[in-house]
Amino acid sequence: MKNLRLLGLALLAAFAFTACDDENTGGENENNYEIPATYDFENVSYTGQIQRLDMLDELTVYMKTANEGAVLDAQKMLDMYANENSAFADASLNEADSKELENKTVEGDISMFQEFINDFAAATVEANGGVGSNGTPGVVTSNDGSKQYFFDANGIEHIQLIEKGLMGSCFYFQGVSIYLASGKMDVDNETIEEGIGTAMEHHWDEAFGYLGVPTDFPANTDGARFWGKYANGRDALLGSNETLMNAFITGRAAISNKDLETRDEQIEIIRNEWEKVSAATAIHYLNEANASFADDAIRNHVLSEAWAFIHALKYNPNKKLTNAEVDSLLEELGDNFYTISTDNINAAKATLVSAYGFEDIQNQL
Amino acid sequence: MYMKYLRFSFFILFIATFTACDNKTGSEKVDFDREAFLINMADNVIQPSIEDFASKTEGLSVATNSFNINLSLESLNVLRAELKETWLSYQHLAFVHVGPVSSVNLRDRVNIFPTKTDVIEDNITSQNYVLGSASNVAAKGFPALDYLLFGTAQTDEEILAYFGDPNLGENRLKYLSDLVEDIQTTSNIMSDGWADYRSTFIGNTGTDVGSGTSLLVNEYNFQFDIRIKNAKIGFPSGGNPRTGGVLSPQNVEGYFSGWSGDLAEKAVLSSLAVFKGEHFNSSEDGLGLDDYLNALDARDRNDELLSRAIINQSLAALEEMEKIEAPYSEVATTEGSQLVDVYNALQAVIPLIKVDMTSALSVSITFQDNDGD
Repeated sequence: MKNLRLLGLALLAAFAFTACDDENTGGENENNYEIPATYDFENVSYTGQIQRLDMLDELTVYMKTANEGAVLDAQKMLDMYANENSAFADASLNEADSKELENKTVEGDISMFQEFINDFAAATVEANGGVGSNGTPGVVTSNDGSKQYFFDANGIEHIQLIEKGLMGSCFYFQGVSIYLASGKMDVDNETIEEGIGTAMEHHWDEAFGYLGVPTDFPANTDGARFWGKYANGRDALLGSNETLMNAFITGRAAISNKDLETRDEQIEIIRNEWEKVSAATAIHYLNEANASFADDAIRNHVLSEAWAFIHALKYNPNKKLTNAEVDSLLEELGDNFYTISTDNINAAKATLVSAYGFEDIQNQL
Repeated sequence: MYMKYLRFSFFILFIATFTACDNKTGSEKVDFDREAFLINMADNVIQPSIEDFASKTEGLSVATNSFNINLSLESLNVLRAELKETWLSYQHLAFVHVGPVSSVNLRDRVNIFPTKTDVIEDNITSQNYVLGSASNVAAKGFPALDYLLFGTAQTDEEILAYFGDPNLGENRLKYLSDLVEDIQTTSNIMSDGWADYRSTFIGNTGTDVGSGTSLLVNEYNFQFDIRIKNAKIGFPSGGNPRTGGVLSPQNVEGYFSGWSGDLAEKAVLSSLAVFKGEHFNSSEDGLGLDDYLNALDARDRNDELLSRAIINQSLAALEEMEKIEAPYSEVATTEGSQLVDVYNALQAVIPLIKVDMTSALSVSITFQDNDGD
C-alpha cells in the first residue's frame, strides 16, 4: 500500500503538471483511472428499475395462465401496468407506489398497451378455455405436443406483444432514449449523495438497471432477464454481452472521473449494440417462423415475439430505421398470423438484414 | 483496495492541481465584479425588458379596444400585429425570469402551448371561468389569442364573422378582452414590482441558491433547454428522444398564425443578448455571463473559451433555424426534418451551459426536466 501511494504521488506530480499546461486538451488523460472488471462502484442504486422488471415478471406470470386456459381479468392487468389497487403478489411492489410501468412507457404507446390488455382479456373470455384456430381465440398446441399458447382469433399472442413490447417501449426506451440522453446526462456530477452517487452517476446506473443483468455479467449469466437474457441469447453471433457490459462499466468509471468524452463514446456503443440485440432477435424469430411455418402454435408464437422486437426499434436516438419504416415492416407481418405468407416473413427479414448489416449471419441468427 | 487507492490519488491530484493552478481556478480569487455584473443585468437588461413588454402590452390593449369597437379587417390586422410584437418581446423577458417576472410566473401565465381550444370554447359558451385557475392555464395567454385571431375560421372574413356572431360574438369579444387584460395585469405587476426587487437582486452577490447569479444561470438554462429546445422544437418534431420519434406538429408555438419560426429565432437571439449582458435598448455590450466565464478562463471540453463555444453553437442553431422558411407545423410533419437538425444544434449548447458553465460558476441547477427515477 505504501509503495502504491508513493507511486501514485509520483504519477500525480506529472498529472498536476500536465493539468496546468495550456496546451493540454481533453481526452488525453483517458487512462488515468481504473475501469473495474464488473459493475462494482461506490454509491450505486437502481432499485426502481429492478422493481419495474419485477412488475413485468409478475404481469407475465399472470398472463401466461391464459396458456393453460384461464380467463383473464383486464382490470387486474391494467392495475399491474399502472401499479394501482395493490395488484401485485409481491407487497413491496404495491408499496413502491411511485414506480410503475405505465408512466415510463413511451407516451404515444400507453393507449396501445391498454388496448392490448383489454383485447387479450376479452379474447380469453370469448375462448373460455377452448381450443383456438383461425377465426377463433383459444389455446393452440404445437405439432409435437410440447408447447401451448393462447392466441386471439387472428393468431396474435398478446402475451408477447405486451411483455416484449414493454421491454421495448419501456425498458429499452428508458435506457437508451431517456437515461442516456441529455435530460438525464447533462446534469450535476459534483455533489455525491450517499448511496446514490452524483445525479449523473445515478442516471447512468438507472440506465444499466434496465438491461436486466447481474453486476458480474457476462462471467455470470444467472439472473439475466429481459434484455440481458436476449443479449445472451444472440451472444455467440453478436458478442453483445461483453460489448454492452464493457460500455456500461467504462461509462460509469468515466463519469466518476469527469471524463465525459469517454462517457459519450460509451453511450454511442450502448445505443448501437442494444439496438442490434433487438434487430437480431427479431430476425432470429423470423427464421424460426420460417422453420416452423406449418406449426400454428410455434409460428404464431415466434411471429408475435418478432413483432415486439421490431416495434422496439423505434425507440433509439440512433435508430437505423425511421418510425415510418418500422411501421411498414410491421404491416408486412400483417394482422393475421394464421394467414401470413413466407414472402411476408422473408420481406421483413430482408429489410432488417440490410438495415443492420447482418448479411453474414442472417441465417444463423 | 484499488478503489481506495484511486480515491486517495484523486484527492491528492485535486489538491495538487488546485494549488498549481491557483491563478486560474477558485472563483473567490477571480477578478470579476459580480455586483457590477448584476447591476448591469438589472438596469440594462431586465428592467428595460420589463418596460418593453409593458409598452407592447399597452399596444395590444389599445388594439383590442379598437377591435371591440370596430370589427374590421383593418382592426383585426392591427391587433394581430400587436400580438406578434408582444409575443416577440416576451421571448426576451422569459430569459430573465427573476423577481416579479418569476413571482407572476410569466412563462406559465402567458405562454402555455398547445392551447386547449375546447376549453376556450367552453369558457366562451358558459361565460363561467376564472382565468387564474389551474384548469385554464392552457386556455389563455398568447397561444389562446393565436387561436382566437387565426384559428377560429379559415378566412379573415369568417374570423370577423366569428366575433360578429349574433349569438356568441359578444362572449367571444369579452373573452378576447379578458385574455388581453390578464396579460396587462401581469405586465403591471412586473413593472410595479421591479424597483423593490432590484436591491435584493444586486445585493445577493454570492453564487448559492437564490443569489442573483444562480437565478440568472438557472433561468437561462431552463428557458433554453426546456422551453426552447424541447417545447418549441424537440417535442413537435420528434427530435427529442423522449417522444420516441412521434411527430406532433400541432404542438408548435404559434400554430395558428404560423409564427413559430419568428418566435423561436427571437428566443435564441434573446438568449445570446442575455448571455452577453447586452444593453436592451442600445445593444451595447455590458457585463454578462460571457465576461464572467472569461474572467474564470472557463474552457469547454476542447479547451476552447467556453463563452465563445456557447455563442458559436447558439449561432449555429440559429443558422439551422434560418434555413427553414415554412411554419414549423408544416416542417414537423416529416420524420427527421430540418427541425431535428435545429434540435440537434440546440442540444449541442446544453452540455456547455448546463454542465460546463454551471460547474465553472459553481452554480447548482435547481430544476429537473422530468420526474426522477
